[in-house]
Amino acid sequence: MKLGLLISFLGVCIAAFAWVLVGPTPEPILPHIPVLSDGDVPLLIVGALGGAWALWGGFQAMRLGESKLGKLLAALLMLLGLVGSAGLFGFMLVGTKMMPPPADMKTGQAMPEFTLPDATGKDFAFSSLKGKRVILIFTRGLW
Amino acid sequence: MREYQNVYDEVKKAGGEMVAICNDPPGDLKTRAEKYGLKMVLLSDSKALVSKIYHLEHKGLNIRDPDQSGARPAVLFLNSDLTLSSEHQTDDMRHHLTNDELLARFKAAK
Repeated sequence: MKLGLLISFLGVCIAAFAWVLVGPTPEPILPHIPVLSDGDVPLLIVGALGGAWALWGGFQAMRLGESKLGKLLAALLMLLGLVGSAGLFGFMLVGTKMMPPPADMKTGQAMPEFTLPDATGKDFAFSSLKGKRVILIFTRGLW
Repeated sequence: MREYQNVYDEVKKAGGEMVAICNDPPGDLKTRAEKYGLKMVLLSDSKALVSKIYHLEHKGLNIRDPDQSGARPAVLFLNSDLTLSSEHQTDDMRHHLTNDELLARFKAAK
């Protein structure tokens, strides 16, 4: 039973690791990891693997276990693994792509004037950029 | 956004400027700039007013506050007369331009 719980716990950890790599936080927690950080498929595989381990380990623990506490723990780990893995798929395949349609912009069009506070709270006028080539980034939490 | 910081000096050297517009309040931007050593201009668009006039508003970003709006992630490359040279609007919020792509598009601006 203990081995089953351990496998299930490892599965939950793997699913959690995949979540951390997806980076649903304003800034990435882990440094860039080649292959894993570069594509959806490797991360989905890691997430699926974590979920499968959590379910399989939990199932074995429940099958072999005798104590109620152990079975409860196994059920909890299975639930965590399932939710973590399914949530990862939902987030990566659906959540990240829930965007309004792109703005219709034409090359050569004049961009609208605005004034916004900068990081120190001082007003910054868009017109002050005139004469410079500008990279204007619209960003938010994940991006 | 942090990765774009790596080409900031090159952009500045070429006479350009890099400006990021976020919906976080100025205090949060200051904290982030200090934490990550961001040198680009960070602007706070907490009411998504600029996102609206640029037609990049994304409503309902926050489940707990459906009225809160933010910006659809986008990178606009502007010529020195502040007209549009090119734009990148992603359909996947995790997709970023690489630094090489960023620089190539910046250099294509006039």
